Amino acid sequence: MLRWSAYAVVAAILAVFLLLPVGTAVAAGFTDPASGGFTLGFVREAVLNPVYRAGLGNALLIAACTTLLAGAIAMPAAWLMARHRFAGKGLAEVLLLAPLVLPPFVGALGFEAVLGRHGALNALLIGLGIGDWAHPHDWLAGNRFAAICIIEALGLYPFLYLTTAASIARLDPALLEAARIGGAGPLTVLRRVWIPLLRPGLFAGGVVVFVWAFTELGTPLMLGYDRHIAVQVFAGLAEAEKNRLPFAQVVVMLVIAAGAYVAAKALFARHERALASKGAQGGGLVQLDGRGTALAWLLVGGICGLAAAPHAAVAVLAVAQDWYRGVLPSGLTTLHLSDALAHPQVVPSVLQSLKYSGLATALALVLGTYVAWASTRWRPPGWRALDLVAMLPLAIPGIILAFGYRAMPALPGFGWLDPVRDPTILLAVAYGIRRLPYVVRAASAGYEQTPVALEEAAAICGASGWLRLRRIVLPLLAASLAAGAILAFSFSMLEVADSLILAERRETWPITKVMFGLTDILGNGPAIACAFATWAMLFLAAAFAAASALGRGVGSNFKAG
Amino acid sequence: MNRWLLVCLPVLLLGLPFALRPAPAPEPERQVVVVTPHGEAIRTEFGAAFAAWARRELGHEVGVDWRTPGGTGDIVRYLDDRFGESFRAISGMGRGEARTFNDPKAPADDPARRAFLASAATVGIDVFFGGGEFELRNQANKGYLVDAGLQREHPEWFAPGIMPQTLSGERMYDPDGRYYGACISAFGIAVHHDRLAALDPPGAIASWRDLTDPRLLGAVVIADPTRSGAVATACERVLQSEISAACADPEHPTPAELERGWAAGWDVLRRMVANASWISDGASRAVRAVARGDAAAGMCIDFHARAEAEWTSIASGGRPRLAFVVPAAGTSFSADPIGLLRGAPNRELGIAFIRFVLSPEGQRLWNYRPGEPGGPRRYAIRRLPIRRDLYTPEHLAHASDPEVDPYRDAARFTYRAKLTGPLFPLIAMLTRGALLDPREELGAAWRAIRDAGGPQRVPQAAAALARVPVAYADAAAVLADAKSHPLRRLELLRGWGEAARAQYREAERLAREGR
Repeated sequence: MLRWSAYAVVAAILAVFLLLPVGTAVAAGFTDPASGGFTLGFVREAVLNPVYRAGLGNALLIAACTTLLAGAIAMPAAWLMARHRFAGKGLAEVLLLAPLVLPPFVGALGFEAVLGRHGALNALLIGLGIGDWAHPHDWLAGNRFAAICIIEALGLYPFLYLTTAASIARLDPALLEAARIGGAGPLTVLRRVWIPLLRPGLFAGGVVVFVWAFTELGTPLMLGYDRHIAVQVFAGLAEAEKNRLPFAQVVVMLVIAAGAYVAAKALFARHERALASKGAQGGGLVQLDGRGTALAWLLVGGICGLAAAPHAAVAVLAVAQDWYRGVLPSGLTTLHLSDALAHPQVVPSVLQSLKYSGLATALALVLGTYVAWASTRWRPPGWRALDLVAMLPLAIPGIILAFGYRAMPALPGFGWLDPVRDPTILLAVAYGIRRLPYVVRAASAGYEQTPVALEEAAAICGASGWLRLRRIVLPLLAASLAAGAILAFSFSMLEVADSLILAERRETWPITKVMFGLTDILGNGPAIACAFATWAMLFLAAAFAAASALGRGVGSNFKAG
Repeated sequence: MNRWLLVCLPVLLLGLPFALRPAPAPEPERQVVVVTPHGEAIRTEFGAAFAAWARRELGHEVGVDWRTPGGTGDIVRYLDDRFGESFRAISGMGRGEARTFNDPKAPADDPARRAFLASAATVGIDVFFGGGEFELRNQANKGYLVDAGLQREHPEWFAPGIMPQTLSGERMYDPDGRYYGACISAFGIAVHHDRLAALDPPGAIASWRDLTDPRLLGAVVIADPTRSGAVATACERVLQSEISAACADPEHPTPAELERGWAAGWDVLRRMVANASWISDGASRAVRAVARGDAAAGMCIDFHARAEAEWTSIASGGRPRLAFVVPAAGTSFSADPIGLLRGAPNRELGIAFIRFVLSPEGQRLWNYRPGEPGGPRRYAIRRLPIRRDLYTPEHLAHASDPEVDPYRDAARFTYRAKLTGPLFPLIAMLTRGALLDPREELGAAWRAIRDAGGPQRVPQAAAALARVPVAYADAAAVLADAKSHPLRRLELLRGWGEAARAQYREAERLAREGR
């Protein structure tokens, strides 16, 4: 009885806080604010106006280019890490995942300092005798699109890297051997064996990168790129009560994201079963010699150096006295760091973020562990649907969910969720639901790797359900759950779309919104924002290191399931 | 590394901001609650100076409880929400019945309106500080602001020689005492010294028209006026400036003069946008682009440019990289006011705070250099005091911007609200629909005209480019149409964009054909 009640509660929570907000956002796009009646007018405008069409087209192109770029970065790295052994491989694995704690929008702050007309790159070129300060090249003008793609690809490639590496690790070397014995050349092996077998991994990571890049708000917003549908939706927020265009654009985004998902699945995931028969995991690793190790580190160093470059610029800005026409700042100062950490908004925002993220992590842990248990141990009727719904946030753009949550308080009976009064519940739920898939996968992996025989043996010996949970399941799952929880917590701390849209009053702002707010302060506002962002990156890096120290690596969440 | 040490690391980092948090000031005996969009510098300096003033004048410790729910728009939404809630609780009226409580156009005998104006509805806040004259006038008209009585208490402060009621056509304080100008702002142009020096030939910028110079192609930054009230106001000033120039007697313009000036104003705005390399989403980001040198010039509000100039000067060791230019005969000076809120829980302290801000002691904070006797302690605020008696040599000797005197410069321009004030929302919409949305086509046409030798060499192309999106005579009706329904507004925006795109493509074609 208890397990059925819990099942009903979890299903109801997912229905109310995942399906309902999406439905609410969609419904708002078809509602006339004046009469309350049905209208297609706003969706028509979202489609007909060339500016909004351009916003949609650019977002799609950015997503496609970002995914391709991320793939180009991730695949060689995945092949290297999954098929080879070399000195310092453990460190390389951690470094390759570092962008997970370097949010792309923070990197955008550093881009202007490096690529501006009077920035570091021009200073370097002019120092080398290329060009002069009377006519410095404007790297950003006309190139904001490319800058967004590069920043996002460098921030998001770890998702593709993890899934591709997992797929490569599970490839049965016998298949490759058989192909070679059968006379297939390297290209044929790549085309007929590697790519088909890697499709599921490419699909899993590619979809995450594509949907994330398609709806990413922070990076284009920070770079001032307004021909982007997420930025246009955000810009329309102030008048969303009267003008339903942003909701109509959300409808268009949802249709496109779903379409892209279905198309990609049809294209890439047809051979999913090939992965089900797990191959010789970890077998056949090639030990690299000195030259190979050097080349491997060249690849890893190159990727990590590029990925960290914008964030390194942010860290330099955080301590720069003046950075104008110089490869490096003219002097260093701790003023911005002390101003940032002593800023009256910083401590409250850290507290708010900890509160929202803590509650979100608890929610994701409880829901995620339950869903994982239901789908691996119990399997009641509808468990597949439950598992699918729990994974849905990976495919639904964050900004769509955020808009749905924002529209919810207007529904009868949901006025108590009004984020203007207090956004705690909505933000905690929004963060928690968005990160639910990570916990579900982590917990599922834990359950799958924990022999059920242990629980059965305990049950035969008379142990109660509670005792089995406390003495067997939780200790064995603890490492998986801790890794999933820290991932959920860290990503919640860095959440942009929900934070910008749902935290309205200044005293309720979490750290990401305060970072955006600090960049608007005249004078050294951006430097203070960089200093705060540097602290946040260090904190999250430390949290990740702590997660690794607790046992399982972050990557294991993606490798299982 | 020890596993548990690694686990403690995030906790240690987390503790850092808490450790660096400034020690809380001793709890004051009383507090005045002030809601404001003003930044940290103003809050810090006025908070500390008021506390010192109150200790001396009132004989007890008084603090300021700053409430900062966001920008002016956020504060207005907050006040609407909270006043509505408070009034419904006091009056017992339901949402529908109380709907008109804050509607200035409601009939005088409207029960909700009458009850609200007689009520002590409260939002728990005493003073609204900043937000611009236009917005505070709106709040006063809604009934949220009440008379603080300073005209009766200090009639000498409101003499024309200290605080005139109007300056360059703009209202400095409410005759009913519901708000008073606290400082003065002007709209103008931020210019980057190095970028201007690199122009061929080097050029100075002294007027709005200078921003249309083809040499500045790709060197101007503009903020979207639908997202920045300051830039919308600057666009309105450009139109006013051209209308005034086109009229023999701007007080009594003829319809033909109005159309001519309106068209000339839109031509200036169009060419400015055509010169823009980037459209920013806010006025402060546009100024920052000028400060970095990514743009040579951009429209802005005076204190944004001065604050950035101050910072570049500090960072570079005394050499500001940008400056603020007051466009010749192109801008007015408007007040940024302060007002007492209805139902102020600490009414006397609220009035005392307003009195302090308007006193010579408070006024000195706006533009005195930090550390000067009577000046701010840490931040140079670099805004302009409203009191005229602060523009004397003895005060200017301590000022950050001694060369600026709004009372002198105001003589060069008079804002006439009746000419463009009612069209204000339309100006922002039209700028976006006809200039910003089709900016790629506009930029291409402008570049083609420049490459063909300039507008004089290709007059047909210049004429095609300069077609007015909406005639002055039709503007009021078009605005009413746009306001009739949100969908109608979107349709109009799309229509303006499509018409403008066709127009700019034609101008580009004509320019390429040398016509």
